[in-house]
Amino acid sequence: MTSIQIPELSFSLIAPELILCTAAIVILLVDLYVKNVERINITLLALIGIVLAFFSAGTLYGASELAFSWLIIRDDMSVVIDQIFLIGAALIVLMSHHYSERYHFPYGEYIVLLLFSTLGMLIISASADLITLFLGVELVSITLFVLTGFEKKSLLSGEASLKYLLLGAFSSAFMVYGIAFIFGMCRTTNLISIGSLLSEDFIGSPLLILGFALLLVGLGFKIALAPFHMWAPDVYQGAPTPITAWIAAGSKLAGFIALVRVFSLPDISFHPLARTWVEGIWWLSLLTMIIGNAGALVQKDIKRMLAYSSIAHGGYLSMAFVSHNDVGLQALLFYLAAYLFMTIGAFAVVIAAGRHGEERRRISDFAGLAKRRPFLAAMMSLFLLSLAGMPPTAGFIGKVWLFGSAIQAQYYGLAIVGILTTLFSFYYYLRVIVYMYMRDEEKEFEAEPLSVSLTLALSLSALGVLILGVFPNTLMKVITNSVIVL
Amino acid sequence: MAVGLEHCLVVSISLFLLGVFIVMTQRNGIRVLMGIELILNAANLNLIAFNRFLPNTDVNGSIFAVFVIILAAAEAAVALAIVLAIYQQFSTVNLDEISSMKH
Amino acid sequence: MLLLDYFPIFIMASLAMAFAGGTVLASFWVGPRQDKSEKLDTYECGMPPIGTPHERFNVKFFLVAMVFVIFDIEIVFLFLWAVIFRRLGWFGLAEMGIFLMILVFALLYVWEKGVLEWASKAK
Repeated sequence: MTSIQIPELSFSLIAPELILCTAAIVILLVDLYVKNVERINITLLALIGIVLAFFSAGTLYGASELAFSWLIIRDDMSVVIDQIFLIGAALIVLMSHHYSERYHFPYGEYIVLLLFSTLGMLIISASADLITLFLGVELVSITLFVLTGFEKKSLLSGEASLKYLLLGAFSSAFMVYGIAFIFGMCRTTNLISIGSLLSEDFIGSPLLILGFALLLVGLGFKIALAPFHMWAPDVYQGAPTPITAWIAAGSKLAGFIALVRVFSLPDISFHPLARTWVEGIWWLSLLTMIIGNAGALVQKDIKRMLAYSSIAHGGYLSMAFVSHNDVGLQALLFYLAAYLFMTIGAFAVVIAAGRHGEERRRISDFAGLAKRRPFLAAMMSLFLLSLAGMPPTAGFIGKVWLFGSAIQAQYYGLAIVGILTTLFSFYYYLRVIVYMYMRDEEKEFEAEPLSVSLTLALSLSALGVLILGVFPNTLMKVITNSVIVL
Repeated sequence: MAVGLEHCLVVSISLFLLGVFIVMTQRNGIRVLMGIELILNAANLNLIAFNRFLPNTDVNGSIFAVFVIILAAAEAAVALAIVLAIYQQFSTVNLDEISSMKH
Repeated sequence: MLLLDYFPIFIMASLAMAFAGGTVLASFWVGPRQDKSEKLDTYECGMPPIGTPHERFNVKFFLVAMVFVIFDIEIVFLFLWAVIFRRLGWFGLAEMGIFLMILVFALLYVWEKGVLEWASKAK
């Protein structure tokens, strides 16, 4: 009887994932067996796990290897993205600490699910095979379905979670069906092998194109590209606000990284097939920018407005796949980091401006916030201006870089639409600021006092937006290096 | 007549279209989920068939099918839980009646 | 592979769909329809039914069903492992041990939450 060749196991290369998984399981057990565990202790445990994973990811810079029989790729890009995800997760944990006190949901389980969704994102960023990619995407989706429905008393939350579940599962099914065709035509699920196979000879099979198209549709649902965006406003509105932030920031980031892993294969760029993607994504990007920004104009609910703004940003971000060059990829990574900070920040203000049983949901509820809570109003203005792309914020640098990559690739039309819709978007971002500073409040509304955790989340996001805006060089250098290594 | 790749693909495409049809037309949450399961199974059939009938395929296709089965089960369990929670709130699983969002 | 190779499939698929759709539509149009109240009864001749056929199940039933589905489906992995168990040696045993340990944590969670106790109320 022959023994099977065991593939080499390099656990050190997936240390961040292992640490995060262990942290989640430990919190699950603590929550089960320690009687009356304080919420602050769970928060601290989660933060410790995230920080440890962050530093263990930091030690992996320069690794650049394939591991676990080519299921995992550990390059610098995956490390940068892992760290961005982990920062985002820490901010969400801080926000959730405050929010869960307001609404009393089972906090231990909530944090466990949150950590598992982060784990899924790390798996996506390190995947070199469609199997790991699919596993990561599903881990993110399934945990977020549950988290969306966590506010059991709210009808909106349940409805949002059902809608998210049905459309999410539907899009996953499309993805799998597409992957099946890709496997059939390429005879492997490994992305590296698929890349080199496609660069060798052009397999003009329509089934291959169908496979990639289905995969694109599936991932398009996950990142809410128009016309697959219908679920987003309802889900964003209904989900508990920290989870809305995590869907808007983390899950969207994860979807884009999955797209990067599939559609920016190093050898695929020269492939005639690449033109087909570029054309497809060109249309998606155009449509998403227009529909997202137009939709945001007419919203009265702040979370729905931010949902449409997030859809519009999906359009800007997918421009990077159209330009399909190194600059585009670098700009994409930078803008994703910037986008994470400003989105999470904006939702953190939405949480901070409310109180138990009464949230500031409508944009008109924000009237007069500047007089009552000048700090919150200033923060909100910063995040909104960054989302709009005002200098000297991170949003400005990211947009310039992103549109620049499209111009460099000679997609002038798309860049112009991008710039025009950006100008357009100032209207609805500024409207909130006008409400906050220039309108009198309609009714007395005292928000809860700021807790330590929420202040921390707010100021860290603000710091992120400003540092990336004023001193973008550090992150730029890291990103530029990581993409060159790729 | 021996069963070949084409037969499997025809069955798979029929399952896929049937699944999409069900998702598009049914208003009952549970039935929509059943449609989604059909699509997943169509994909599984494809994966296994390609692995079985094409030369030089690596075994990843079959492994992928196993993972799809597991994830479909996990998704079904979560879906059941969410539908139960929804039923407690709305006393229905009809998607048209579950709508409280103010636009 | 060319598109032409798959042409028969598309023909077959469209034929199948046309046939299935056609028969449904045909019976809808051609078939006689009588929407009288007797026709719509559950039993045309007999006692009118009492109560609904959809009996409400205890919610416990669904919980146990959910847990069963999850643990049952993990057998798929065990099955693949068992086939080549000997050839994998100690390494395989350790790997499966870790996998099962994670499942045991899930089981502990379910247990502690009282899902497994049929009679008493869940915590």
